[in-house]
Amino acid sequence: MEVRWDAVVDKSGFWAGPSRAEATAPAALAPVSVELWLFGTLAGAAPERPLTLRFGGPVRMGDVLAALGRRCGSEFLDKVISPGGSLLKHCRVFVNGEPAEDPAAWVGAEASPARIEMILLTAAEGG
Amino acid sequence: MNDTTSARNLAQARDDAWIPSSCALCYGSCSILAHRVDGVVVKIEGNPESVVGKGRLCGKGVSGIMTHYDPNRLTRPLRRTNPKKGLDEDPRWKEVGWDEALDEIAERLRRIRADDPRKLVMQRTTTVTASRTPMQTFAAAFGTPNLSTAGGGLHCGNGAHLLSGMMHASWSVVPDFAYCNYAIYFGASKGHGAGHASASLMAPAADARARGMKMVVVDPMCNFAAAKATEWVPLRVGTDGALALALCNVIVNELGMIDAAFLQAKTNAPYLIGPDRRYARDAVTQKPLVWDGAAGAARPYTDAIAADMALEGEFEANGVRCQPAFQKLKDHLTKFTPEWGEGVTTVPAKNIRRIATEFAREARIGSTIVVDGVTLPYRPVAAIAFRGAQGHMNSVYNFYAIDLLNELVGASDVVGSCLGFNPACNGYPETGRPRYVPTAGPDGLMVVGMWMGYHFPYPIGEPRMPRNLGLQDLFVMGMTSPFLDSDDQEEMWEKFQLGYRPEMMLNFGSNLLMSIANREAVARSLAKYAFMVSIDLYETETTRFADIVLPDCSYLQTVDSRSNFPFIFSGPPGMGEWCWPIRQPVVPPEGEQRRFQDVLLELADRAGFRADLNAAYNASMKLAPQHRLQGERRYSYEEICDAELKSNFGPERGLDWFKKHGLMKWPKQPQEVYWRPFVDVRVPIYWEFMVSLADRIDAITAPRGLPLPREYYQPLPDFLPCHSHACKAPGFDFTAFYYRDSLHTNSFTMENPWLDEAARLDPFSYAIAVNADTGAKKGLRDGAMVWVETETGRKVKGRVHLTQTLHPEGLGIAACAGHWGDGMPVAKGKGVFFNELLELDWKHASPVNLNLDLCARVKVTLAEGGR
Repeated sequence: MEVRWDAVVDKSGFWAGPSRAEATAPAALAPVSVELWLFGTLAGAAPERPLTLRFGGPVRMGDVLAALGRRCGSEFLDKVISPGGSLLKHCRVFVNGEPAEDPAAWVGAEASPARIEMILLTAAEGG
Repeated sequence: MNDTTSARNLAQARDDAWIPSSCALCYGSCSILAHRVDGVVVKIEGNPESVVGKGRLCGKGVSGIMTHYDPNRLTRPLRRTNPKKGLDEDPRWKEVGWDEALDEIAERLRRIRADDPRKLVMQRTTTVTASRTPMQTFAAAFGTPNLSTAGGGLHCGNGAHLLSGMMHASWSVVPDFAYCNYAIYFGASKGHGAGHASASLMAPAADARARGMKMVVVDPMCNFAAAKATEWVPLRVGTDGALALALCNVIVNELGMIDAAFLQAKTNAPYLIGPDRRYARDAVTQKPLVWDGAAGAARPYTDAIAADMALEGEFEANGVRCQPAFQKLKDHLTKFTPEWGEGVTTVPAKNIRRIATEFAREARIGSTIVVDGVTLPYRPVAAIAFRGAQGHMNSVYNFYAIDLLNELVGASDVVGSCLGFNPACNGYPETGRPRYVPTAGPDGLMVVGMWMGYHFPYPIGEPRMPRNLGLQDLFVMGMTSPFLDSDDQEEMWEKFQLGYRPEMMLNFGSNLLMSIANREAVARSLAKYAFMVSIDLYETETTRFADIVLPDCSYLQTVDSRSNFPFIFSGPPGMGEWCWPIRQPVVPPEGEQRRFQDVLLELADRAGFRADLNAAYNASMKLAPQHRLQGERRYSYEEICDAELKSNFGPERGLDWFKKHGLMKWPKQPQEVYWRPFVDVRVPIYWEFMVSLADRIDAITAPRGLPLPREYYQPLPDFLPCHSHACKAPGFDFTAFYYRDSLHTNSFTMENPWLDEAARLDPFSYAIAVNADTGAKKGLRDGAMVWVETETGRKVKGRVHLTQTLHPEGLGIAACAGHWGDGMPVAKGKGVFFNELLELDWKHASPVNLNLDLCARVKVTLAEGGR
């Protein structure tokens, strides 16, 4: 008997992501302070480390990157974001120590100021 | 106290221990037990507790003791006093202290980093896998994108790794030996030679053959894999892709034996292709369209049931006639008839038809099997490739065509099929770390869950005016680049207005002069560096270009928390256990040797970028929040290893725990090993992205006098000849190629006296192999001394070994021998330096992945007194 490939796929969600807190906007509308630590080649883009940014309310990582772009210039954004708007794979961002890849993710809910670290890992490698 | 008790006490007082650690004689990094008695390593064996090697160790691993105790190893930092650099220049070393050496290096680093960090080039050897993370993190922290692996990549993996990543989410591919019944090897030796998971795969490969797995080895030479094969298929050098295309044609157009369900659900075969060779896309979502047979309409691929997606035919979408990608492939393949294949490859057409039929029949399309209680697709065939097939101008198409064999019959990361090396891991059960799995990227195509670097195979990067010396940010499918060393590097940098030039090289263990191409070109590029530092075990030919040399520790003197991570590199594929071994010191450093990892940390401290380096380690090792390195704190490398191990295995299992136990194991699950049915990703059997990619690269290169050769950027694979195929000069009737000798690793192990002795006893290791019949026609006798010369006049000398185990047109040389330096006296003068025959420029590199063309048309003449 021939069995279709997709017929054997189990729907148990084996590869479903680990449980994470619901990605909703923080309830409070209090101003958010973000402390940005830029490392490696990104460090030269900012006048000081850390760079502190303040926002009037809840903020997504994409908002932080946009604000950074305004402060540091388009060349900075070219290094971290693809033309499609996603974070480049070799740009690593950590929010309060946790990896963050989605520009739509909220930041600043757990700690104030939120600590964001960014570094470019070296892209090309053979062997 | 009687004599017996006294003797027992004496024995107890003696140092006598078996230390679990990891080998580093090749990048397989098998687990070892090193026997130390009274502070001396007396024996090295495989560690039976480990999955990596499974207690077995090859001749190189056993011989590691001789590398460690080699009296020619460096023991003191050295400073060059001769300002001139060249192949014949004596560096005139003087011994210096570590402080003086590190101060001078740090001062250079500080100045360059403030000026333009890209002026630092970092090179590392691929032999020591453990150098990857420390070198990558140092480069990232410093701020340079210019990190390379010398000949690694240019020779072995720019195509193999790109394609394995694109199609199998892994660094390499291998048959699922436990279940595979029919494997075709194209220029690969997995399970029969050196390299990735070498010792780990030897028993599974042997067991598979004993069980009855038919193994067909396609190779110009019948050596490590072919000698153990069921069938050796000799072919003309560099034509593997042509054979694969002819096999695909038979399967699709003569036999019609395809796994339609797989192609519908797991590839882009149903995506509609318009007249412009691009996807027809939904106007709103921009998702590729498929023809939904149930709805009788074109719909986004996410909106139709896979079983309803048309694979063949012609349909109208967006007002234009479109065809599914599979129809395009099917039509494209028709020109690659077995008779055409015979003309290109010399493999008889009837054999091509037979092998294709056997492969398709053995695939058992539509069948399932239960593994550990889980029902899975069962496709017990695999077509794999590595260095031999991919080391040419047509590297990408070769590997692409070969992997299509797997995709056509659904033999991709399921039971018995072609497997990537561990592309999906659910993590250690107590912590869920490390956890990674492929995901769907743009257009639903697969993005790797884990990679060796951060230049992912897909999605393809956006080409731009280059900022990297290697130009990989322009030729975005390239990994290791020839332009760090090539003859035309300055011309290329000028052409693309690169605003800086390299100033300093920091080299860890790579012998560039031997591992890339002809030594004159590489020597010219090395001599241009204003300052070069080399961290080495020996004074190699390349070390002699350094300004400062730092003596490294051997693998028996060092520590590493990730000697076999990532698992996609050298972890044994297939069912069994996950295994995380470490490397630990068995004996202390001698003289003033220091561990290179700690030297890099020290340099970061002295040059003032420790905080950046800590951040790079946090990111690279993905350390859990509670184990992240803090601020500018000065951690030792042992402390960093401890943090990684605790991060992955819990606070009670740090470096001390691992030093005692050597490794951590836990069972693999079928959903991890055979992940493909459980993850909703597709792979491209039609590379639509190549069309626009070529446009975007050409928009940059053509105005600067370098029109892109479009034939290399087509969405479907073709056969493109190498330069050697085009050479018609009289007398040049051999195609020279090199192969990896299983006795040696790169240019490193020729200095090991046990391995050198074995190689001298082997009739092939240090000789030039020529087909016996061809040799006889040319008047060559076994043992004759000959010159092998290319059209451009590059030549090497060596002794002929006549053999029937070689294609009549081939000339095989074991690489990478032929040392000429005095710093490795055992190796000096042994074997033939094949790479001297290779050109190093744009013309001889693949315009897609920058892989070097590794074959050369040559003539053979008797050397004076050669008879």
